[in-house]
Parts: sequence; structure tokens; C-alpha cells
Amino acid sequence: MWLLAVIVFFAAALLAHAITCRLPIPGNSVIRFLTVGSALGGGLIAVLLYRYGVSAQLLAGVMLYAFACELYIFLFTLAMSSVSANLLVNLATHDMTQAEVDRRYDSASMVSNRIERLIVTGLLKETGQVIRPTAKGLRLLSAFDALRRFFGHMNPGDSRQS
Amino acid sequence: MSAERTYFILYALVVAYLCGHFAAYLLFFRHRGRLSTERSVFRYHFVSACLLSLAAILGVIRNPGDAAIATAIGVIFAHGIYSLSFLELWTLSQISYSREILLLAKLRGQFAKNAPPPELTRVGDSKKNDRFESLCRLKLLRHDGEVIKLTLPGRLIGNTLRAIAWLAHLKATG
Repeated sequence: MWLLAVIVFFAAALLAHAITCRLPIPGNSVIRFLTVGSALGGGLIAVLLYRYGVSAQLLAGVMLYAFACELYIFLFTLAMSSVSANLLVNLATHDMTQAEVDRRYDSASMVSNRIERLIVTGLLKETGQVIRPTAKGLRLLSAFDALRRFFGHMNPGDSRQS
Repeated sequence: MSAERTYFILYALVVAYLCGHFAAYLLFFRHRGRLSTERSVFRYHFVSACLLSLAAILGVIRNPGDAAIATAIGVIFAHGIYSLSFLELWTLSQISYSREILLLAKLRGQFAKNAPPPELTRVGDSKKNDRFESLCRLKLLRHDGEVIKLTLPGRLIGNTLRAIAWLAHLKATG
């Protein structure tokens, strides 16, 4: 029964996310899913507590639901921003020639799409035709650098660069 | 000892195991080039998840019951949460294109929107080629003469991502 409860609550979270993403309300897709996913996760915990108390079933239900939510967020952010994912999605609808791939994934348009997205998310600011990083963008860059240092991805020149 | 208490001790042991796995990465692998590629980091987590899953399944076989099955599923997915979080952060910090753009904007102070620096175009080119080669190496794409087609696993992944993009109402991807 606990497994069924997890499936039902996760399906409800996906449905609620699909609905909220189509409503004219503020917040990006990740925030919207975190909101509905947390609310339904709270509901799942309440149901499992009522049915099983503090038990192995409660912990298993929470772990499974949290994993499913994290995987879903990973997959839709991947579909949103990854070039590989985009290519797979496009090829799933129709085959393409190398020339079509080169045209569609032209570097200049990829760069301008990414810049546009960074402007929309408030990480870059557009003043006239000039692009500048915002304070939020600089904070994110510092977070990236901290992560790079942590995972040992820093190249010798990286610390001087940023 | 009650059955519930036993299962909570098992969870505590799994948390200790995951902390040990993380500590081993920090102490022995992080700066020594042993786990410097996406593939090797993935393998490090995959092997650990397989070992834990095997132990959980053996535990259920030795001591069958609803709570034992729930505990086995719970600890396997606890490892899943840990590994997925780790791999996401590892990959994001290594290859993020957004980081490259933000870094260049910071270093230059500003740049023209309609004429982005050539460094970014070069990064875009190399990322595109890398991704294309990776998808071919993973046998998700294949060339059929001039035409590029998806293999069966590629089509499965492509359609799954398409369904997810529809669900999350993503207008533009990539």
C-alpha cells in the first residue's frame, strides 16, 4: 500500500506541475515543481504516518518519493538546457542530415539562446545592446567556482580568472 | 530488539556507509586524477549502488517480510538520492556553458549582445562536437549515409525527454 501511495502522490505532483507550468503565475519550472512537490510530499508523509506510524514503510516511501522528484527535476532541467537532450528530442521527431544539424546547432545561435536565458533568469542584464553580469550572476559564478574547487575541476589559471 | 529498531539501525549503517563513500572520494580520489572523468565518477557510484543493492536483497532473502522489503527499497533509493545529487553537482561544475558566459561577462565587464566574444562561439563549437561524439559513442545516434538517425535506446531516451518537456511545458530546449 505504501508503494501505491508513493506512485499516486508522485503522479499527482507531475500533474500539478504540468498545470502550474501552464498558468500565468510567477516562478520558474523548478520553483513551481518544488512548491507542488513539497506540498504533496507533506501529504504523502501524513498518509504514511497515519497508516504505518514511524516505520520502515514511512522511511522507504519518503526515500522513493524524494528520489523520483529529484530525478524528474534533473530530467526536465536536462531537457531544458542540454544540447545533447535537445538533439535527441529533435531526432525523435524526425531524422536529420549533418547539414541540418550544423544549421540548427550553429554556435552563434546557441550562444545567443543561452545569453537570452541568462537574461530571463536575471543572471545577465541587458542595457541597450550591452550585456553585463548582475549581482545574482556574480554570486552564482562564485558558487560555481566553489564547486569547481571542491571537485578538483580548477585548472591552473582558473583562480586568477575569477 | 524490536523489528522497527533493527531497521532504523540499518538506515544508520547505510548513512555511515554513504559518508564513508564520500570521505573516500574526498581523501583519496578528488585531487589525484583517478576520478577525473564523468565515466569514472559514474562507475564509482554505480559499483557502490550495486554492492548496497546486493546487500539489501540478501537481507530480504535472509529475513523476509514487509518491513524488510520496505527497508531494502528505502536504502537503495537513499543511495540513489546521494549519487544523483553528487553526479549532478560534479557535472554542473565541470561543463556548464552558462558558467563560461558569466565568467567572460565578469572578466570583460560587458560585451555586445549582437556580437558575443569569439571565445564563446569556440566553446559552443567544441561542446557541440563533444556532445555529438558522446551520443555516437554511447550508441544513441548512428549515421545512415548522409542521414543521422537515433538507435532504439536513443529513440527511447529522446521520446522520454520529449514527454517530460511537454509535461513541464518547455517551449524551447537546448
